[in-house]
Amino acid sequence: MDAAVDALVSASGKVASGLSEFRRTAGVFSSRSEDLLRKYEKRWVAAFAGKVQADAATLKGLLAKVDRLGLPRGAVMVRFIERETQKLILDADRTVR
Amino acid sequence: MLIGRFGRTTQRPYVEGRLVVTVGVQVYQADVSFLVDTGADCTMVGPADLARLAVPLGALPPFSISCGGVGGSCGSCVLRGAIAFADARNLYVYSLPVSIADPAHVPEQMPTLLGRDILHQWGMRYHFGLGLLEFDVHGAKIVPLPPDYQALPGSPEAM
Repeated sequence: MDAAVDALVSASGKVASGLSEFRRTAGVFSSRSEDLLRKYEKRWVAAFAGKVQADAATLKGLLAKVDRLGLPRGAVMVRFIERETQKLILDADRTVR
Repeated sequence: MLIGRFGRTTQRPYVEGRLVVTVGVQVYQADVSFLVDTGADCTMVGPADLARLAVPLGALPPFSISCGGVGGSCGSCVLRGAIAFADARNLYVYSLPVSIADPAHVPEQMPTLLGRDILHQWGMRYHFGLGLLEFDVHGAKIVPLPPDYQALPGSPEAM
């Protein structure tokens, strides 16, 4: 088994619990759009444990705040709050090296 | 069955999963809101989630693989990795190469894309008006969750 798969399989319960918490936190971005836009439009926002924990003008600044608060980066949901979003289409030719 | 969601501010379709990548013997992981993107050939990590993974940029391979989109092209590299999704009973694990967009040449707001390398293995029910986004999972390694596992109240899989 490769290391990435093993990291997931060997801690399946913890991974599922973490994802469950992360998905609950996602509700911050799925249910309070006007509130978020009014308070944080054009700012980076970090949510954890179901609520907004930090905001900043830049991603770098936000992650510095996340680190200072002792929050786990891998479990924090990060978004740039904006009304208009860019559109993306991806076409890639790739190999593992 | 997996349950996705639509972002209210973006109206985009998302599904959450645990992303793991390896660089040499180091393992990096983060929970990620994947943008469900049937227009993307492959799953690709955006700058914000790359920063959350905390992979040192100097440890990455060169961003020498060109990716094209409507807005132009950018470099990318590929890491070995895996993604896990969960419902109330199982973890669904995919082993796959994971593309990393060059953070110096794409907007920081670029979301991490869940591409057709995964989506072609799923069935999908998509109805924005009803707020319905569901996936039937195929082709994954299925890991039953411990008998005492309970999804958090208020999370989609607990409903």
